[in-house]
Amino acid sequence: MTLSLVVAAGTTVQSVPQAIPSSSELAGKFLWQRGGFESPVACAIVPAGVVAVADSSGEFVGVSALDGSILWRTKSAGDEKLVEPSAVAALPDGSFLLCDRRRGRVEHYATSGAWIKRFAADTFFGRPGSIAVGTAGVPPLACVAIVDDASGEIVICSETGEVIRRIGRETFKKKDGSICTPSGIAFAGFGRLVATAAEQNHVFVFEPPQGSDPVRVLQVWGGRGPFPGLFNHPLGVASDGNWIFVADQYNHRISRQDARGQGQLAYGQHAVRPREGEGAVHYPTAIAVCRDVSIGSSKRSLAVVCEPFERRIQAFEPGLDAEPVDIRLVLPKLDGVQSHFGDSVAREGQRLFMHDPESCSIVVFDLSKGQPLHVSNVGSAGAKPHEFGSIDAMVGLAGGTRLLVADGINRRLALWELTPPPKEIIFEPFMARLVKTRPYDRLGLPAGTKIVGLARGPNDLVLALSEEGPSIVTLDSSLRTETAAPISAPDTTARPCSIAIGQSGVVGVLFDRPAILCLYVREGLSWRSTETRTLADVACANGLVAMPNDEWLVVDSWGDSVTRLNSEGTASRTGSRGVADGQLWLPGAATIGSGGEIYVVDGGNHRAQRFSSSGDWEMTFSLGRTYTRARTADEVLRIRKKTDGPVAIPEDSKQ
Amino acid sequence: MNPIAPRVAIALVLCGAGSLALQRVDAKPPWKEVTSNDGSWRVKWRLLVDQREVELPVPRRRFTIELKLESTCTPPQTPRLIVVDAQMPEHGHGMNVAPTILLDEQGGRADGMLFHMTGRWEVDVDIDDGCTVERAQWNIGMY
Repeated sequence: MTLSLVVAAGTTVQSVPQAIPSSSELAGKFLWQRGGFESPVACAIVPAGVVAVADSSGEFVGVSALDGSILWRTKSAGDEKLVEPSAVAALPDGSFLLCDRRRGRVEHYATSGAWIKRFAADTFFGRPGSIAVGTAGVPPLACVAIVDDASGEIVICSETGEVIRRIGRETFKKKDGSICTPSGIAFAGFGRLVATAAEQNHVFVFEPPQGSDPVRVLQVWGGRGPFPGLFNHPLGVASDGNWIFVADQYNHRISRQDARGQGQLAYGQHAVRPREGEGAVHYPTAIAVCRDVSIGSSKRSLAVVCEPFERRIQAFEPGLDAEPVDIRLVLPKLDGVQSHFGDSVAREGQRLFMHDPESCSIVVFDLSKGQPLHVSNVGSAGAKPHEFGSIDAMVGLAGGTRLLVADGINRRLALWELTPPPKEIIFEPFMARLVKTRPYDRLGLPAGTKIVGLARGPNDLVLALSEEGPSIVTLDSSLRTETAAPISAPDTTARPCSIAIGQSGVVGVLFDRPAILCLYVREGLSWRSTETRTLADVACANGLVAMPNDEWLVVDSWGDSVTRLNSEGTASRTGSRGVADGQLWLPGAATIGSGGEIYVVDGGNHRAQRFSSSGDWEMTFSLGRTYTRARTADEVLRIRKKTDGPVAIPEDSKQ
Repeated sequence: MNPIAPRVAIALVLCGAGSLALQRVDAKPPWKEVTSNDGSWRVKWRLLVDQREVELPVPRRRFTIELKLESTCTPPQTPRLIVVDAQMPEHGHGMNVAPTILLDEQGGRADGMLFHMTGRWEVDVDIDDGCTVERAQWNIGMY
């Protein structure tokens, strides 16, 4: 950053030597942003000046490349409803292919947003998660590449939908030989494809084979970290035929590099504070780039970044006037704010556990003094037994001296032991030690399944909810299986997301969209369904808490609230969308305290909040701060901007 | 104290009827024992440098950990696989090398261990019984 001193109007005196320009200053110029989405996870651009956005809440939206204004929106594909749009790609004629992950469909839409037909209708896709259109082979043929998240395959189809080749995940090996799972896909010019592997933090450039020839992997790079050439959960990928652009989600940036992984720059600047805008990037999941886009009366290059965490998309003008000799890659500016809380929480005894998805560690709070005090961290990112790949669910055991964690990337349960609380509350970095792990593949569950929920039963028995099936596995305190049995699931596309045990022993399983609460009782070795409640007012269920008096608490991420269901079936709601205390932004999980108070992980605001048992706001806390006087939205935003406000973008650059 | 030198003790030994004599005894470092973190295994271990038993490893010099494993479960479990690793928790890193691990009927050994700096090292032994993988751990202070 260049520091300068303005002496008089029009006169600027340099007060310090010229610094090396940062990569974000060089690599992309902010143009506009568009909010109003629920979960914009992917986008595509056509030269006619339309940006198509896949909103995973079930909507397909077209916006103008000029200013981001809405051109059209649709929630249907023919006579069917969209359920989870996950990816979109533009065909050369300006039409779009849209993946619907939950329906296992790829739909074809015109530039105007009108549905045309189902693409590759005879082809089975388990969960199409990413799509790209380009040319490959000799002679070059137009084709479509689709990542099937269910199988980990990349399916190469012709433009008319015939399957040309399936590329298995065994193709994508890191240098140590371990296999990666593709996440994002793009054509990178010269017949090459580029795929990201988000869980393994790698990028692969490869050539699709001729006939049955093996796939030729041309380049592999990556690893977990913030420095050039490293990633932290790279999801979406795009290419303009020259450069490769990667949505590096947990590094909060778009990295740009060539097909050898060289010359990395970064778009945008890490958004430290929620709702920080205009060029600051927060948890991007996808990027689209396009040359020669009609914008007004001119044609220019355009890059659009999707940020579901901010419920918005941002447009940049990519390209550099001159490639800089030296690059200072922008690393996250933490400013003391590190409370990146993910979608799981556990409370046992006087201990509260939340997790940070960026560092893959668990933060431990002590509740014995009335306010949550941060007393330890557990684990770190990695593949060793005492490290985490991801944290999908947690449950506290043995009065808070044990913690069981479901790790979906390393595919295992990990049991930790913590020392009992000392008389004086101090930060103890080595409070926890790993006791044991149990691989998912030894739970007798369907291959590839993940544990998405954990609950503590009587005698420290643990119930683990398996996504596929779905099934409930009962484990003893040594992680040995007592029973594993499927449960009857509602006949919808909803997926199980959370499990809790009520006071009377009834087991509640929450399904996400449509939100459904199913209750089960154990009969011998199996589970009998006793009640099914459809929660029409819950947009996206994400966490379940068993409350006293046979009540249930459901966390509604997209509804930015928690819903309390009483035994008569009536519901009351706490929270609304916003940043003020008492408001929530994409809440991920909740738990109940020993006195009936409710802790809600307000992940989208980088904080947690405590509510009374009746739903009144009591306090807001995160790492290193707690307060009990409620602040308005203006006060919260003013405090966030106090030390270092967002970069002001001149009006003339907003176009 | 030179960590390689055998422990030397002076002991009073009763020799013959009522006679006392001073005798020099070279005591080898005994096997040390820990219980795994969920109590399923008794793990005895000792260190070898250049095939000689030692009290402590030597910084920046390869060494071996010999292990004896005994199941405390009923019925007894058999280890299918063991992984031996070490880390410095205060520094947030592990070793720069990957040891070679051999498993036999009595236990096993990890050859090629290397502590590349002084400080507190935590040795982790992960024992896989085919169902769960349980950890035994102990600290080695090298100051």
